[in-house]
Amino acid sequence: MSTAEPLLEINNLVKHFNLRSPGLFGKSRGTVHALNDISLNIREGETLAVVGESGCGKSTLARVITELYQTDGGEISYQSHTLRKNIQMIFQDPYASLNPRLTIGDIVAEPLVIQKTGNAVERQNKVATMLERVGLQQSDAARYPHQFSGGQRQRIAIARAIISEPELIIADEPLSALDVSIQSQILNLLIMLKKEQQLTYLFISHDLASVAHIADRVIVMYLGQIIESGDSAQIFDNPGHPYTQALILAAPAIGKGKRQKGVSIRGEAASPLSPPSGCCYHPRCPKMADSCAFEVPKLESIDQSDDSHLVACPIMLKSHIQL
Amino acid sequence: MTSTRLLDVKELEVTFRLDDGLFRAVSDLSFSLEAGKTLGLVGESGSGKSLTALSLLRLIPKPGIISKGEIYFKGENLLALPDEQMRTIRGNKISMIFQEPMTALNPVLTIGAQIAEALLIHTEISPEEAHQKAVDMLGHVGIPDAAARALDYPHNLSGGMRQRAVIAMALICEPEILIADEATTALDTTVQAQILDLLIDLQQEFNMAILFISHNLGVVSEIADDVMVMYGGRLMESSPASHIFSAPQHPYTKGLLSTLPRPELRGQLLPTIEGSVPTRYDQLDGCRFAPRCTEASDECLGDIPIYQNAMGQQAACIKVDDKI
Ligand SMILES: Nc1ncnc2c1ncn2[C@@H]1O[C@H](COP(=O)(O)OP(=O)(O)O)[C@@H](O)[C@H]1O
Ligand SMILES: Nc1ncnc2c1ncn2[C@@H]1O[C@H](COP(=O)(O)OP(=O)(O)O)[C@@H](O)[C@H]1O
Ligand code: SF4
Ligand SMILES: [Mg+2]
Ligand SMILES: [Mg+2]
Repeated sequence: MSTAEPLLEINNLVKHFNLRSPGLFGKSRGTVHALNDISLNIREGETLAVVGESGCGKSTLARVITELYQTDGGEISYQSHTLRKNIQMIFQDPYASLNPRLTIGDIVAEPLVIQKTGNAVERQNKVATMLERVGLQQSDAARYPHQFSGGQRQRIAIARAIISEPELIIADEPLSALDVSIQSQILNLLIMLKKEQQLTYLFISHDLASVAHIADRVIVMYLGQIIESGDSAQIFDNPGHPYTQALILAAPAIGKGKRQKGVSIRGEAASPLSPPSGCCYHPRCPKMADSCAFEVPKLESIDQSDDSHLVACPIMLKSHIQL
Repeated sequence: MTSTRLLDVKELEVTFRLDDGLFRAVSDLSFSLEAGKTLGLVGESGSGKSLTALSLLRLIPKPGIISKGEIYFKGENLLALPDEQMRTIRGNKISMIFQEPMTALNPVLTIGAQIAEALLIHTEISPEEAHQKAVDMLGHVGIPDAAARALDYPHNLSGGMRQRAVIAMALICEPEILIADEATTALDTTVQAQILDLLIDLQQEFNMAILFISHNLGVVSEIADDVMVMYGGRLMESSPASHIFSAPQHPYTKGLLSTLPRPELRGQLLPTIEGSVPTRYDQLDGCRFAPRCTEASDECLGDIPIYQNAMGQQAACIKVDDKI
């Protein structure tokens, strides 16, 4: 798998937002470093997850890849022109993402219309096939979004995402708005569709349990930076960065029993308008050393025998190598 | 340990008068809260959790009413109290915090003033004293530099700090019951963990009863002593936390737990509960979960008693194993 040319390669990507006070000549209120020197590959056929708390830059990454936002530096190489023009997205809120005035048939057919694929009859047939594939009925094509539950709407959004046979689907928190019993239905659907259609997913989520379930590889972000990346098992069974460790410890899980006192990490993420110097995590980090306040960590391999598990923390890297 | 029952809810029923008839949103719900203990209330959206919470404060939104039942707070039926007396209980003896802290905060008042206000309403205390107590409470809930933050407006605080401020406001009158309705749902994972720790600490200190509502079973498992599962406005199961997650009794509880991703199943298809929650669930006969239940049979369309087993687990299902 690692020898194959990546579907998508991102190098040193930077995205800033200049915040201004309201008005045409509003005063600058500073710059948000939403993506700060991001490099990653998406490999054909994998599910790559991006995790991290709100505001760390996950959705911005999705928008830059789909060219909704321009970049402020770095580059994105798409394996092919067809890939670049046909990346589909699934969003968190299936209520906001479906136009209430369009029929389900029109909503699902939209990517084909935009790409000028097929005639009306062909598109209609394809919509019918897609609706059945996501567990809805052909006759649902004539209905409107308000006639469906949240889970059914997310199925509709998924039908729209797969109809143009995209090589890459970006799912941005696709489960977060759904009820517990519906989340597993949608997770299963994503897993089945991936097999049937040889899809590649960029799966964005703050929910570690679903990420551990579906992802082959995981990228952990904090304040616009990648602080750890690796195979799913490496990240969840052997996390290297203190922040990843804290995230995993904080994730609510059944079977741990009632909380023990004092396990949560201190503080909150700093404002992205004024990220901390050195390691951006150092004000919260239990492993912090003096050097962390000024030395900017680089992503480095934590295991000399292969370079699949990268961690941006010199302190942990050092202690790991000594072990 | 002897238990101190603070609140007893008996056969609660909440009804909405809708254009197309009556909708019984909560039916025949009984439970109790004990001092120093946390009752977790879980269920999918629309199962009646928030209405249950609002009933305890008599704050059911129109066109809804509490159409049946009794709610005894230290032996007194809240539903029989005059409005005026109820106001002395609300926000004073029984407090509530919500998912979105901004709904509880007034954007044009400083944090300190809002917290002091509750004290000024419910106690005879000077404004200066009230302000000092507000600052103390802000420090108590883990807000750094509390004296300065008391002078801030809500929008100056982060989401996590706002939720702490709301908790400070809810606790300032030292309530005996705290209701938390999805209070950590909108927070980031690490901040959620901090707020759970805070609630556990404060509960030990003030010996409050907490009704902790969440759709997230993992969160509930980390804070609750007992867990109540609702579906379609009814109780499905009520069990000690030490048993419900390892030995669920009701098919719905079993189903919910089975759908959660877990390490042994990584990458594989998960068990599911097919279908979704019906909107007019009160029109279903018998067990409301029956249309989605894999164990359902004709008997499930009749009256469903609540059975209890030797471990103190209660389940509204005729198929549970060892009934008493
Ligand atoms: N259009 C925008 N204008 C200004 N700031 C933005 C915009 N989009 C995102 N941001 C900021 O960039 C940072 C990253 O946001 P986002 O990518 O949405 O994070 P996530 O999806 O991880 O929650 C945040 O600080 C956010 O406020
Ligand atoms: N103001 C209202 N008018 C009509 N129906 C309502 C109102 N509030 C709640 N309901 C209905 O009552 C049921 C239970 O609601 P709620 O207690 O808010 O559920 P939960 O908190 O478990 O998500 C839902 O079907 C909901 O649609
Ligand atoms: S670099 Fe320092 S502050 Fe950052 S995670 Fe590592 S030990 Fe903590
Ligand atoms: Mg986002
Ligand atoms: Mg609710």
